[in-house]
Amino acid sequence: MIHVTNLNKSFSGVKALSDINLHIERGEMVALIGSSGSGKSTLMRHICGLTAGDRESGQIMVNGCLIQEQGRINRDIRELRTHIGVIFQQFNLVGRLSVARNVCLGALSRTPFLKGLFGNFAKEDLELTCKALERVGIADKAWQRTSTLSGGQQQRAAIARALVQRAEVMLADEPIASLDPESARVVMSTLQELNRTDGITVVVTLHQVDYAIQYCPRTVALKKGHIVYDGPTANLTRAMLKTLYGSESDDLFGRKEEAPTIVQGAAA
Amino acid sequence: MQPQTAPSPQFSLRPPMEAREKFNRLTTWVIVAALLIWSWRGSEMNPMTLFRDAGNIGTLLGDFFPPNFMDWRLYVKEMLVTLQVAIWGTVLAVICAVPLGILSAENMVPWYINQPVRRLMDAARAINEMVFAMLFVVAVGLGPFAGVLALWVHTTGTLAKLFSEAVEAIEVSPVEGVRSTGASYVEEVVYGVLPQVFPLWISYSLYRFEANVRSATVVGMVGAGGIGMVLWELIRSFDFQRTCAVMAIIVLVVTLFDLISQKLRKMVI
Repeated sequence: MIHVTNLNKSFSGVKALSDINLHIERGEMVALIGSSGSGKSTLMRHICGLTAGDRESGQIMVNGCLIQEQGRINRDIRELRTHIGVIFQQFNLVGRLSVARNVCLGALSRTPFLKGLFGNFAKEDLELTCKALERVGIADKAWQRTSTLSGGQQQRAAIARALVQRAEVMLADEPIASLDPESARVVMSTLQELNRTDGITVVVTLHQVDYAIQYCPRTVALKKGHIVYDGPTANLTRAMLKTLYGSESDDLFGRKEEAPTIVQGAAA
Repeated sequence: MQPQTAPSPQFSLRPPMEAREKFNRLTTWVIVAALLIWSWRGSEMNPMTLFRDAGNIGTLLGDFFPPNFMDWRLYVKEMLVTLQVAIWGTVLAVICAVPLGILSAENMVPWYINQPVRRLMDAARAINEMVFAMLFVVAVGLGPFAGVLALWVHTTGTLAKLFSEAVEAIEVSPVEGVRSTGASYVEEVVYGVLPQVFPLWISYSLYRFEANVRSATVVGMVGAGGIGMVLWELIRSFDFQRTCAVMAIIVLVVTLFDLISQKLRKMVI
């Protein structure tokens, strides 16, 4: 479903991704872990064609379509994005529009130009919007202004938008990083449910391993732009992460083993 | 042991100033003073005349009172024309400023589009509406339509700049969200950008309408219709009592519309 071959990316000389090869089959739910700056968000942005790789890169294929090749994004990318739902850390909804309208925007690409311009969406798409809102459990918020929703509810609206897109792949970039634990659980369960019942391929970046262990059968671990582990999440032990990440591994677990000691002299 | 950063009795909210900073501050004051003196000469400032000719000014002010409201029907009729000029001048400008504002925003279009559009808008803004009014009077003849055209051109220049500044201050994340659904460029603008800038744009448009009500009262002086034309005739014939009546009406209407537009602006934001 997703095939990344020899992807390279550097930002002003600094390698952010080096020689990434990643193959994900249809219907998988994969966690992409790594501490901040490890390149996981960058990888995501490449897969959905928001960022172009370096010239000396291979291809990225999603669902049999070429997204980019040797640093050139496919010219029909706008059409291709329709099939890829993207969930962002900051939700990326339009705050002043109603929740329903934000979700319905998922249907923009298949709405004729003038109808889309005036918000004149097809009846099926309105029904689809209604169903999507029910599925993620925020149907009662449909007419509310999006900015008035809590973070968890906004993230579920973003997932509903991807559903209206009829996306076959969902790329969730740190979907729970700015949510409280309860909302995070609801969002992850929603993604899991979509993966199991609709067979949607889900790739989710996380910086806490706990959630990967709970929800994703397969984990890909990144460190400084390299893939350092790719395999069943069950095989990931704390000791193994320690060898992979060294002192950084504490970061990857939500719960610290010991409370931080109070810095001496700070109270003086 | 006492840490060195602890507040001492001479604690000041400002960090200690270095010699160079002191010098810079002094230079700034010298430049400001020089600028003021230079401009005083150029503009032939002569406050003494205000006292010396106080008698003349007193007589002139006296001539204004009591105001003569004999022809108030004419004044009200012309004032309404002025308002109508302001309304159409503003509406046309808002319509044109929407695309031009987006086309002159750095984050929306490449430089080879936004730079030429910006320069064009600069030109439209740099020339006062009075000058445009004089030109349009020559082009389309005496009357309010020349006033509408003058306000239109000048206001388009101003609003396009204000609109584009609002566009440049938007958040990119909602736009990226819309883009991720596979939307086209225009759809990105309509659903990602416009909802973000809409309240600000309304507010700017109303503010310009206020300003245009004021401007429309003077474009008449060069023949572009409305109350300005009446005012000009009265001043030229030294009929200060009637002038006073017209000025009173202008003050009343402009204040009224300032208040209304202020209320509306508070409502949209």
